[in-house]
Amino acid sequence: MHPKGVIWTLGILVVLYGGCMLVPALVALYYHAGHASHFFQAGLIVELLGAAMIRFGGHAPKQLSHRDGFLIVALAWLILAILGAVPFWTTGTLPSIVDALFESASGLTTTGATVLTGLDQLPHSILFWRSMQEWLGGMGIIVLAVAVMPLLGVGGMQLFKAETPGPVKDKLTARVTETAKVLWYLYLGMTATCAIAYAWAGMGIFDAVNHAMCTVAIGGFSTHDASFGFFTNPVLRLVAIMFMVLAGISFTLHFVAALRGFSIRTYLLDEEFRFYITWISLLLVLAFLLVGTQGDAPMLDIVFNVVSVATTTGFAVSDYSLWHPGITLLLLMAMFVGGCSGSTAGGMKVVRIMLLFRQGQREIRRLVHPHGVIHVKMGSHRISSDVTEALWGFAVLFIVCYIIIATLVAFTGVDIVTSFTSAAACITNTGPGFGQVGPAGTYQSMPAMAKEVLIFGMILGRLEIYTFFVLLVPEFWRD
Amino acid sequence: MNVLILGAGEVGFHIARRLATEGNNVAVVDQDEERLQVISDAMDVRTVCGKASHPSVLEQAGAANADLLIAVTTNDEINMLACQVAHSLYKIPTKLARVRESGYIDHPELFGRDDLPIDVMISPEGEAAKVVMGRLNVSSAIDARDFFGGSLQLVEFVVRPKSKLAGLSLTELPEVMGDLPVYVVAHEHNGVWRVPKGDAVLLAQDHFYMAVAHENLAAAMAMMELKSESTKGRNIMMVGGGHIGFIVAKELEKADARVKLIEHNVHRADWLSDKLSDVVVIQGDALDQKLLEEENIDKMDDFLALTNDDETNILSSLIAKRYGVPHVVTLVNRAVYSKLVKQIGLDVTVNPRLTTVSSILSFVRKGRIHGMASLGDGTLEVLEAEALETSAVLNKPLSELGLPADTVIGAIHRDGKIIVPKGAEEIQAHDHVLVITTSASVSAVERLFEVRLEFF
Repeated sequence: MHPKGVIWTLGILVVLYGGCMLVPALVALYYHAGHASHFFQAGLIVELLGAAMIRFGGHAPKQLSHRDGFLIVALAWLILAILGAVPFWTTGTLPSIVDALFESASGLTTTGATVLTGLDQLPHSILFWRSMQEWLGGMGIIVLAVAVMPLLGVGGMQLFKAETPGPVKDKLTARVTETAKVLWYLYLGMTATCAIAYAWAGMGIFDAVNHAMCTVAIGGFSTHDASFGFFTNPVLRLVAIMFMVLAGISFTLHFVAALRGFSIRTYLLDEEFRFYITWISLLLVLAFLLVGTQGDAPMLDIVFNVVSVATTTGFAVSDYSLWHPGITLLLLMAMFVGGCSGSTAGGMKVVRIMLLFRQGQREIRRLVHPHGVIHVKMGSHRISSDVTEALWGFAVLFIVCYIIIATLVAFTGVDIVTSFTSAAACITNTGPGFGQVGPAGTYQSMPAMAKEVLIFGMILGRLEIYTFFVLLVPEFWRD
Repeated sequence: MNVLILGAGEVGFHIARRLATEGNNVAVVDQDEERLQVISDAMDVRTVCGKASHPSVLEQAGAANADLLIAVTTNDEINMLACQVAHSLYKIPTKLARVRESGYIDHPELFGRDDLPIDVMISPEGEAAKVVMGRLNVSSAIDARDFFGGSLQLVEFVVRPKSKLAGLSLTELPEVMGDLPVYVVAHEHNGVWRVPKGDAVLLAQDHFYMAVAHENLAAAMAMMELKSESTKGRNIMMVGGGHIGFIVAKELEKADARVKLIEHNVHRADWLSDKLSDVVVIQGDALDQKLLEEENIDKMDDFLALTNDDETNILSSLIAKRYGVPHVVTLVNRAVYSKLVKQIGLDVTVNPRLTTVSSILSFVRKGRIHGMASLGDGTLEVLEAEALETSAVLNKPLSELGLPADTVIGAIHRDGKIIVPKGAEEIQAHDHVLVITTSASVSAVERLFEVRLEFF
């Protein structure tokens, strides 16, 4: 292990993050809405800390090991979540440290669960910082999922190390940094397109930029208490639906499709994409049968809310917790499946669910043919048993963590529906759950203890479980 | 003709023997001295020991004067390289090579005068797989061969004891077949194959080959009360996933058959399972009764035994028969077994060596011989020949042609139509003619279709 190298790398991230805090300060100056000095101060504190870390680290590490990778990933999310809370606290927006941490962690992990109310009255700088945190978090996740986790082999993601699925035959580019750069442009381009589409469809510039950042990051923070329900224009809602679905697709796939002039064929050849679209369509059909036929809600509301939860975004246009009770479980299930791997979405990821499903199918077929040689396949590619075992391990750990978190939240005295759905909404990085924390409510009223547990849950879900737990193994720290 | 054969394996051996008996100068090259000894003991050929692609070895084998190179070593790369060497250094005009890897075969642009100078590529596994598929498609027949680009088929049947055909002589055949133009061109009784005369009588358990136009096949089989069905939805069990097995499985997968493939080798089974998506690959011993019962062998429509091991193929086929599988195809490599197998009740056998030898020979034939195949145990030959303007066979009634003994014209392909000839029919220029003859008379038939030099 190279502790100095780890600290140097984290220092760089902290400095960049501090630089980002200056953007809300400029927003504050532009809108004359206050808090500019607070953001400058917070930025300065973070910059100084980062500089100190770089100084301590000495110089760029020549080589980082596998374990350093785990440590950097886990600590980066933790440290940035803590530092991101500073402006919420110093500006007095959230006087409680736990609340400030919750809001910050929720943003950075693109969960979108909030403890704030009265969003419409908050200064622009605070709103912008929330959205920006989600956006930065989203970027971090893509780089993490596409460039880093496959190298570390987290939860079966080694699958994508040498060969990415479907038509994507080779790694995007030779080096991780190159890959990260390409993804950054793609992410930036998508956000800009989304913002322009929102503005074109009638959103104000400030709202358009904020919502675009939160849509593409699959975060779900809004600048209004009514969330996306504030905008009644159906064109806006359609634009949002489209970009949520797009952001839930693997960015690797977007990249390859971009090289081929965004051909639909490239997408259709990808098995995960097909599964993802089929899954969302299935959810929509079921939701229509449960809700649409009753005339409880307009069609567009149903599509928007289902897509929002299925991609783990967490925007809402109406309070779906009042709908047919079947919807509650359907959406809960959708949260767990989540979006595609290599996207900003949370949950267990479509590709894992798909492969687990096939693994199950394989076991059943093996009962019919005891001597059969049956492999789990994706396309014509055999998935090795190493990968399927890692997937099983991941699935079990994910579910166990979920149950433990839900139980711990229930211990703090929260009712059953709220504790179980808030745990799900946080570990899958969706945001709103049901009960007290439904789309119409916030996490404000939760006990501080519950919030702490949920912060942990959000980061755990974002780090795909393994990346966090590996740090708890004594062997990890031994040389 | 001077022929150079590289590789003294089964295929090389039989080609050498055939070409040598037809009076060609044959040289055989191989690295295995003992194998060469076996060949020189069995026939009158020259043998050279050494690496087949090496110029000095080729030189020693007389490459400078060779008219034809047949590269049939077990190694694709050596075969291809030898063709290149023979082309560049010795200008041998015609080169045949055995290439089995589909990675090469799938790129025909690799081969040509300016690239890899191979005139004809031969894939024994591909040939055998084609034959197996042919037999599956006409499942109640024993053998089926395509001629004239698929518009005519030679189909082998066995006379079942209670069939309408039993006891009929060939002249009485219209009683069963009506006006359908069919021609019985080969007949086997008590293990002896003959080109039949009109008074030949079909007895129970006899085999016969019938020439029939493709569009009439279903009707002909209906007349004989036999079934003809496509492979779609059929339950097929295969044993052996080697080269042949894999090609057949792949074809069957395309044809929507329900296939179970039993392979003994663990790694090969893994590989097969990767490459095949709808075929159920089962790892195990083909002779393991429990395994076969587990996979419902008694419910199968077809059983294909395609391993490299003749004994396994024969035994597993017998097991399949015992479980009542109606159609069993057995791959038999060794000539000795081919005859034996009929006596123990397995009637459909494929001999990959024979099929390869005949396809190689058909390319070797000079003149206007387009296709060639051996029937039965190899005593009868089928030739597909084109009649040129200067040929001696034109404009004479068939009965006056003076064909060699035991030779018949089975069918004539004229302007896209199949004619089943009567004695008064005349051959016209550019007709394609199907001739069935004995191997002893092949060269006489060839001469008939050769261009007569005095016209030039």
